[in-house]
Amino acid sequence: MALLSAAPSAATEIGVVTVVEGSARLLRGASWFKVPAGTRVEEADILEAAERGQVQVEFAAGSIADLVGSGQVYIIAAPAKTAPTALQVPGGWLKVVAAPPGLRLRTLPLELVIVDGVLVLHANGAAVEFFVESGAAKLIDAAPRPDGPARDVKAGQYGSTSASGAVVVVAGAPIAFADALPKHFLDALPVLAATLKAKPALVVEREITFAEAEPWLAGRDRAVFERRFSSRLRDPAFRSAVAPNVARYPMWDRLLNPQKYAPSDAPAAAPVK
Amino acid sequence: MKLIWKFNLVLLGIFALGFAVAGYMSYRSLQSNAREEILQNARLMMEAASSSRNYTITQVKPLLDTQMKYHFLPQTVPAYAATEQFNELRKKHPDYTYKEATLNPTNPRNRVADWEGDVVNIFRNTSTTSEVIGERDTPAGRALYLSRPIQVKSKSCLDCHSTAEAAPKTMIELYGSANGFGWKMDEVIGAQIVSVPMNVPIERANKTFATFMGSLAAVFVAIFVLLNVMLYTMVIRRVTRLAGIANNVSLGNMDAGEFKTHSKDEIGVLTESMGRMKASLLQAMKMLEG
Repeated sequence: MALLSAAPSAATEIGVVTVVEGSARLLRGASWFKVPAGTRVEEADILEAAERGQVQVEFAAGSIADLVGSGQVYIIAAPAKTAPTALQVPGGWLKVVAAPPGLRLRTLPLELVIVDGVLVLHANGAAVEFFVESGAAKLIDAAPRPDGPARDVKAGQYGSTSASGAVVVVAGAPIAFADALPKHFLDALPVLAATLKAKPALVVEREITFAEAEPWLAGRDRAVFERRFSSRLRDPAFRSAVAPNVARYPMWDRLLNPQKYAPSDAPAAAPVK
Repeated sequence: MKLIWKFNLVLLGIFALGFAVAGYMSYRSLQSNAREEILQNARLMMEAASSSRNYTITQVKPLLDTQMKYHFLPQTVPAYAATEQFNELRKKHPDYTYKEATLNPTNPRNRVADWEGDVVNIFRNTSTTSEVIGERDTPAGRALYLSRPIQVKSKSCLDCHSTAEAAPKTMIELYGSANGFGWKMDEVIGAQIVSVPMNVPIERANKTFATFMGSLAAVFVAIFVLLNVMLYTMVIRRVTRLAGIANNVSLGNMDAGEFKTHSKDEIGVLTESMGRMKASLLQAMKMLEG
């Protein structure tokens, strides 16, 4: 029950949204917020840009990430100040300008760590391609295991997942990749944080639906998201959407069906209403 | 020889000499000015091309550096920028040409023609030569060319032109790996050549010369006629009449006419003097007779 009533804890601001074009929004806790320029982003925020939408974040540490939709970026808490900020990118185009301690880009088939340089990533589930514009990156093929061996990718090299799932790195970006790039990725990303002093108040759009939450609940951080979205179980519509597959979510199953987990000699607790 | 012939002969001589000297001086001056104007045009165009190069290097290329990582953009190449800028100008002035004639160019359109190779070699063989000016015949007429050396002065040039392996992949994709490599620091690899047509300024100078000489001739003719009229009416006619009367009087014909005049000029004074002399002569003769 404590999880159900817990509001999102106050997190540290780690960056500011400096550019918003088209339709974009931010998921904090279990609520979608409108995301005007100047919005401060926190660890665990999820930014989403709709088709042709764009949202750029400048991190306090100096790195910049520009997302072009349709796509999402999940900003994962860094384990230490000296560790790179991790961004999970399930889909969309992302251009990053990394400054120490850098950025760690997580996709389904691979991870890229770039400390100082510029990198463009295009993710669409398991199909991922990337190009290192400048600097160098470390490529970790996540297919065997998330912390698999890293290999260096130099400036000017392009990598993509092949049909077999392996990541192939070659020199130079293919024309198809260059042609598909969002046009503004062909220029340097603007640095605008210093011009955005005002801090706009966040306006809630609505709560997250189960359909929107499901991909996150099926991902690598399912436990984190189960805990994060548990407050939504108070919503009958959300709860009824969870019910058919509740067995996939043990934490929620315990909350929704406590009688299943009650000791046989103890009285069953009332299920969540 | 009559006085008027002597006078006219001298006058014609002076006019002819003046006409020749003025013609020679003005022709030389006009031709020199025309050539200077052509050269000035060529220099202006050379400076415009060089400015275009510098603008491209300092302002355009940095803006397109990111794009260059995906596509090679010839617009970032100073030679391309200067040539394209000049090509726009040529739409209105097709007789003017600009070329970055290069011995081993990346872009084949910059490859030297025979005569351009000679110019480039002048710069390569004499490092102190900073400018070569010459004239040549073209299908459009005679043209003056002005050329300056293109020298590898920046290491950034070698990023694209040292070896094919070191050159940007996007550039190799566009131009291939056969040409435009092997350049060395401080090497003269080509020449900027501006070619300016000479016909128009020279024709203008010739027209100006003809107009000037025609005007000068007209002035000489007018002066000649006027001087002759004045000489005849003011001198020749009066002196002839005076001489005729004096001649008759000297022969004893005292009825030949009177030395009359209303003029106070030198001939008038002479006429009056002759009249007094005739009167004195008549009085002396009467005294002798009496």
